Amino acid sequence: MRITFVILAFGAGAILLQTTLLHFVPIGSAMPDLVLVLCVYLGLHHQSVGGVLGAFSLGYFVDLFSGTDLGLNAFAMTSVFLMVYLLSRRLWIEGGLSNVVIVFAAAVGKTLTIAGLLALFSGTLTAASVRDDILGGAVAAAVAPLVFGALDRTSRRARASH
Amino acid sequence: MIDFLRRYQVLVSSGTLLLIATMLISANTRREERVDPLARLVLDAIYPLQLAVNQVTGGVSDIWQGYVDLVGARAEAEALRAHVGVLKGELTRLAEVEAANRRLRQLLKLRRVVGERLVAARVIGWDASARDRTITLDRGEQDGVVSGAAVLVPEGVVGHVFRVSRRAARVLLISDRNSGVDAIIQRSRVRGIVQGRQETCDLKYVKRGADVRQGDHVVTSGLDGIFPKGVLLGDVAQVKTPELGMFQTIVVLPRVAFDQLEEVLVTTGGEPEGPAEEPPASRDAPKLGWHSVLPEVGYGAAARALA
Repeated sequence: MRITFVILAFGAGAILLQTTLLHFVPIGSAMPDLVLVLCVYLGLHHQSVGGVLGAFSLGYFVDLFSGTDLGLNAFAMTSVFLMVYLLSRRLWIEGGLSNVVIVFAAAVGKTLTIAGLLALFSGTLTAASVRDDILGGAVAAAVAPLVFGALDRTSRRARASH
Repeated sequence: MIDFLRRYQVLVSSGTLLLIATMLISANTRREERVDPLARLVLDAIYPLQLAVNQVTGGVSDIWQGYVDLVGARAEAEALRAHVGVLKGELTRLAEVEAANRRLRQLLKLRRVVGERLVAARVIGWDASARDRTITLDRGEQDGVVSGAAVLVPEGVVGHVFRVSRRAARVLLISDRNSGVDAIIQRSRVRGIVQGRQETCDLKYVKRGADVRQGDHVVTSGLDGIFPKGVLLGDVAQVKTPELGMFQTIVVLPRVAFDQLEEVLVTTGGEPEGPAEEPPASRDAPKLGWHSVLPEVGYGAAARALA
């Protein structure tokens, strides 16, 4: 229960940052996708129905503060969770560098998923948006070890105090 | 069956949620209004947090600016440091007030041009992803903002409100890929649809032979029922006539710097209240911040209507 609260708090914080402060981070029109990092974390460390629900909920909340296509990020984040879950069953993913690689791979996967969905439903995909998504994913991958570390520490504390 | 579900619970639940997400996207694509029962609740819940972060950001920015100014003053005259520091601080404050006045005077002028009742709003949030172009305003239903209202600044059209809660509203910018505005070329009255493309826009469905030139002003036609007629959308940056096809490819550069938006006006319908007098050029407004400046600089009925 406390872990759920930790993930929810991190998710709310990530969305708040993405809609306010990170807008001013000078990396062109790209934006570090912190919610994606959380979904990858769930896929690696919370391989349960709760983890899937968490990824879906995070995507849904991003949908509420992003664009007009409801369900797009919910689908993408659930797909990211699934992708990471399946990958982690076949590959040994542990440590800073592998976290960076898996988050970047997840960003590419998410971008492709969204591109596919947009092509299927609205046909309004632009090259600039794909570029921004990939760039945002790269920045997210760079900060992933920090976020993972913070989540690990907070989760451990939450478990210890339980 | 139960064993199967237990063994593959993650895969089954993922599949179910992917299906639900697909249904959400599909339902959202078919209907004009978004199907999001939680949206209003969440928007209202996160509104105070966004407002707080925005104010803290502004405060830190002011402190940093003040620090930079102070460093400059110290280097400039060691002997008159205290005096210059005070004067510099005063100058900075007055410059800020003047800049706020200038922006607000332009907003008031725009109110006269538009001829509709308008409410001023502050930008408190931006889109959560880099792919889409939306902003969040600090005005909602309790201020008269409704879904579908036009959002304007003196430089031109910003976008329209697509979701509104009691205290906040979200705006789809004209540079978003899902945005479409009925527009005309001001010079030749050629009509088309302005659609967003992230940083720029496209003017679509303009026939091959139509008279469109680089530098032409693109304005709203007023036919879409959202935007008032004749408000600037941008300038034609590029005109290409493909070898095949019925239409020209026209790139429009919006005049509005969407990344630098601070205050906007939102149409709330109906005739404007009171006489829209020309605001006086005031330099002696005692406080910073556009919310507090308006009533204090004596803009009269127009200022009260805006504030």
